[in-house]
Amino acid sequence: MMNKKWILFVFVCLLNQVGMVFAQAPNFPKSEDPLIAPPSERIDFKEEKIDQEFIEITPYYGFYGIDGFSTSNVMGLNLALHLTEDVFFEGNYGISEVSDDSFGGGLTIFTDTDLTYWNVNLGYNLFPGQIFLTRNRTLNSTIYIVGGAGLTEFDAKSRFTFNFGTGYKIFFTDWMDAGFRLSLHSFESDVTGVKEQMFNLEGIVSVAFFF
Amino acid sequence: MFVKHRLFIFMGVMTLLLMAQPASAKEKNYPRAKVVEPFLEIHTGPGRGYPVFYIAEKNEEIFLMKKRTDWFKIRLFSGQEGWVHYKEVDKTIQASGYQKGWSERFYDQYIDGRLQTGFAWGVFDEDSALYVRTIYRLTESLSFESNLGFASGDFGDTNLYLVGLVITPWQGTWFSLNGTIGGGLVETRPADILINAKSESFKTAYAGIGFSAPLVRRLSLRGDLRNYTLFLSPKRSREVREYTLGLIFEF
Repeated sequence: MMNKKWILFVFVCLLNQVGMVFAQAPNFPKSEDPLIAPPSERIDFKEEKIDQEFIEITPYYGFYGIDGFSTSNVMGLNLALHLTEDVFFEGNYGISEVSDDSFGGGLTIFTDTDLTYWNVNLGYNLFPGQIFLTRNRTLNSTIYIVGGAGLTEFDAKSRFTFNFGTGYKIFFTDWMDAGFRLSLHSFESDVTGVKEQMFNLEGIVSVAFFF
Repeated sequence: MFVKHRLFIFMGVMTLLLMAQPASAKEKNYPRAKVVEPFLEIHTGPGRGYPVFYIAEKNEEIFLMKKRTDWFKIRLFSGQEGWVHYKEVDKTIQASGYQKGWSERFYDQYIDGRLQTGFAWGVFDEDSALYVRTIYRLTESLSFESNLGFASGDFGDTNLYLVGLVITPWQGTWFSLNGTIGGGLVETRPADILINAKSESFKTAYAGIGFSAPLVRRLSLRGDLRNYTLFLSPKRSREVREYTLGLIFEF
């Protein structure tokens, strides 16, 4: 009788253990659950939906000093194509004028007082960075260099011109910036009767827009 | 009077509310993606020189606002905006169902590495000259090129309009050699000091040799020496030598 009780006790204990083992068994995934979740929700979109902005149009204004003569105002337009984050191509067209007042005595030596130029340049963003307006307010900025060649219509004759310069830009938004640039335009001239290389300094301020 | 005031206050509050809305309506129009990489570095500007100011975590949602050169401007769900390099965001975009549009397919198929443009300085018939070039690579060793040239000298200006072929028989790691043949039109505009001279245009043919050397990614230096034959009249022609050195950018 005693034996029967013992057997029943052991049986109940075993049942209990087996029950506990089953109770601890992991929940195997049901067949309809995916084993690996997809990496991301797919929302199909096309590249055209993303606005591309790499063309920069810059009207500018400043001074153009003609080596040995006068300094006049210059205004112009700059069109830049940003090819990479570092490199850009740009074209400039500027209008200024030349006066021979500084030559003295009411002497007029120029046949045309208009000066226009165009050039194509390669530019490089040398130091992109930030300026801190306040402790928490920053604006992006960049120091860049440009160099290239073009033609200058000076004294009714077009002259092959090299130019190089450096500038600084501050971005107010990602599509608008303002800056200044100093550049040197060099061409051969014979207006004084002697052939000489002229070095004309140009300084401009500008506001630019990205499209 | 009071009604009018209330109307103004209502309009003011509505305007403020509209302005204060964090552009959530706009976000619906931007393509959306979820970060699949462990993290995404967000820069303040579209360049590696601009500092990283935020890091988006895996599974965070981003909105693709615009693209400039190799950089995407993105906005996070929290409202943070910044720029990420396309290589960083590429996997995220692909996983989100990004489809290439016609312009990108066109670029991949016909432009990528094939189209080159640049400018060169040189001497054409002892006059300083400037050239704007466009080159399209047809095969590994054959390219089509067009040249616009402007030369300016003591006796007048010259414009050149040229098309030709560039043959590259040998390409090395540091530089490659090429040969060019082509033709076009040469326009001359004499200076005012030449009495009775008038503007003229002639047909021309040229042949030359040159080299090309890569400088940095996508940018190379190219030098050319060419001999032009200007057909001044059916019985008369003239030979002109030209040297150029320029920069070529590969799209």
